[in-house]
Amino acid sequence: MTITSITPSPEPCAEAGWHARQYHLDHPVDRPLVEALRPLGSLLLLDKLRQPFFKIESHHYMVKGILGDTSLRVAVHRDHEAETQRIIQLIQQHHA
Amino acid sequence: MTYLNNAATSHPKPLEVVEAIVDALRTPPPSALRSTGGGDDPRPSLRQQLGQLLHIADHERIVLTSGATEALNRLIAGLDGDVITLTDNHNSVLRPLANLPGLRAMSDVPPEEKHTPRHARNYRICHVTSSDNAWQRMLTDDELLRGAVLILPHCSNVTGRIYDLPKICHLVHQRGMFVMADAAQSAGSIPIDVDGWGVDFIAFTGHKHLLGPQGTGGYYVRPGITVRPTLFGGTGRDSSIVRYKEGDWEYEVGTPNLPGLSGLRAGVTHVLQRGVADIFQQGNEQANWLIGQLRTLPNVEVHSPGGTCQGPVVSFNIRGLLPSDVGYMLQNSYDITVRTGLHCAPYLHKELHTHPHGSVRVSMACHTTWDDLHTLMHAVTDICHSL
Repeated sequence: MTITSITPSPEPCAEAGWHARQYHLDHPVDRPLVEALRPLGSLLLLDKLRQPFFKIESHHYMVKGILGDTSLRVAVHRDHEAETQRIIQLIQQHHA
Repeated sequence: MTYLNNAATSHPKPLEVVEAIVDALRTPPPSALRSTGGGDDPRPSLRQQLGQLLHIADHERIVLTSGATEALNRLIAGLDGDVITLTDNHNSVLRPLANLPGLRAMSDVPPEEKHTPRHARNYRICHVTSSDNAWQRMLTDDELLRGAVLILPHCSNVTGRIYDLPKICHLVHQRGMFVMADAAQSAGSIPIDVDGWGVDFIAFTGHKHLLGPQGTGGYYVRPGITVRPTLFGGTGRDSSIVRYKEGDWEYEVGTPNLPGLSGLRAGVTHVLQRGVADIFQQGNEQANWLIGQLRTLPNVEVHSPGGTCQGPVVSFNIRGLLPSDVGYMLQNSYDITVRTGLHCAPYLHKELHTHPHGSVRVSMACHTTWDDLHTLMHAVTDICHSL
């Protein structure tokens, strides 16, 4: 999967204290991508929703999105921005 | 899209607002006090309309600004005396108090200085939760000198709670103090009677319930009170005067935002034609309906009081989910725009025990339909049942 662009989060207040960005992808988010990201932290998956929501969270960062969307939100605590490289790597290694 | 973020900015604007802005940009600029000739200066009739809306007879004392934030900053910086404020104020009040030079929190004042003559201005922030009526007790607090100003939101931008301004003005005036109302959420959505209630200062924004564009707003100061200006520049009056005589000040300086003010005038016209009492009734009914519906869901906590003192803003949380996650789902799965987070009112969230993540805020305006609210409730119910 390719990250086509990274833009600032449209909701800077909602993720206050975090450096939040929207990652735009060349394919929709699918369950295997969520599984691939799962080692990053604890998983919340609301799969009864018409469009399931997921969030993977650790102390330093958080990834969330909607299955089927072509973007997801990545928020990293300001002191741990370098860790976004690990998230980017996991996304790019995933074959949609 | 279902837009329920009108406490941030109202959307959509009436067509006549858009047309007024376009017309102002198309026509030559007006000739206010100058020889360039040209079109319509919206400011005199806008002040007149605002006076009608807010019940201000001396409407020429209304100063037009870029919004409520600028208005509050200018008022707070330009006043003398102490300030008392409430925890549910917005950062447009809290941050000027905390950061302007010459102001210090009452808690930082050494005890020996509290009753002695001093030059510094102090401010105190009082809790507002129902279990703590400290903000009412402060009216008998002798630590604050006569002449202090109580700053409060007419309507909370988080809970939608409406303060009883007539009663508060009466109590505060008995103490020889003054009232400054932040009407950012109430101007255009809740009836206001500045002269009748005796409000000493009022600040408002143009882009919320007055339906104008961003970058517009203003304030009013009751006759007999002087506020020192904090901005200086060209005014089009007498350019030979550089240093003003004490008290002979001007407040609207620099090039005015005439296209924006033309749009604001069209917005205020729209509100006056519809009637604020009618707009308030609709917003109050919608907010109370929404509060009632949300309270039927077992894992929802509502932070708004409801009842007659309820403005068109409702805050809630879903237990087990962060408000930002609820907002993300509403936006991206259901195409519903709300606002999540602290809503620039950090102290109130500490009292509500919703700090640091805040709440989900739903905010209506005069154009909000019942279908909008049903769409929201279906989505929130869906999310609750998915847990």
